Amino acid sequence: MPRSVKKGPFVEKYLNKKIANAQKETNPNKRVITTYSRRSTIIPEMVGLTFAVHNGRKFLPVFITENMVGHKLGEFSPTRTFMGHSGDRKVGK
Amino acid sequence: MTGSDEKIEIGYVARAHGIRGEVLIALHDPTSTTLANAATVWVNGRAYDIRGARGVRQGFLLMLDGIADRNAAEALRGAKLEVLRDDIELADGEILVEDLVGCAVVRDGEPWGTVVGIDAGLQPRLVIHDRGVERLVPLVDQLVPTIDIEARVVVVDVGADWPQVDLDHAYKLPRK
Repeated sequence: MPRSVKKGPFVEKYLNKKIANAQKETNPNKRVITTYSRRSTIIPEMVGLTFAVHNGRKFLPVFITENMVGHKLGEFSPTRTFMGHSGDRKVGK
Repeated sequence: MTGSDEKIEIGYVARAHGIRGEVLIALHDPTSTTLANAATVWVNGRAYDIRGARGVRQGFLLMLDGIADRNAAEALRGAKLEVLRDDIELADGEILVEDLVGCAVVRDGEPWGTVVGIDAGLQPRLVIHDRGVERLVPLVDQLVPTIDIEARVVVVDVGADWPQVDLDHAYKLPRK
């Protein structure tokens, strides 16, 4: 069941404050908002800002664009790296 | 680094297919259609004319001149596959990853490291190494306003407190 429309999209409270502060700056491009909150929804106010989203190991910078709105921050900070199947390269060169 | 005989690695032979000598090519860029138009490919440095090419879900199936049975195809497994640079068609604004790697990075007029790779994902990121630390910068116009391939320079417009990690925890580049 989807989240109630009445509540609006979920964003961590502290993140809202950081977004408001970043928007007041003259050059928000240069500001990076570091967060562990992968579950926060990307809202239109975040567009043009850069978030460093933790992937369990380190913070990955994500520049927010319009087509990301509605997704979660965590979707853009992958937690796994696919290194290829070992069977594809059994024989050396 | 440009030249008519320069070759670019675009994939590798994943496995043999069928009994007539076809090989399945796994491409570094799964959306590439270069093999549909190329006449010759280089497998481990040796030139082969393409007798037939067809796209499949996993990559491209190639029938190469001189590879007539499954045993010959199996022998190529794991070999890197190259094409001429001129055979690769680039759309406006597209850049070969090979051209980006090794470019110097400049921030506010100061050297800021070297591009060592691209973290391909939903949002591609430049992987930059600089004196024992690694930084990732999303490859978007707002943060990377200038890429000068001729001068081998990439200009980034980011803050001084950009996140960085020691190279011990660096991003592992996927195997080619």
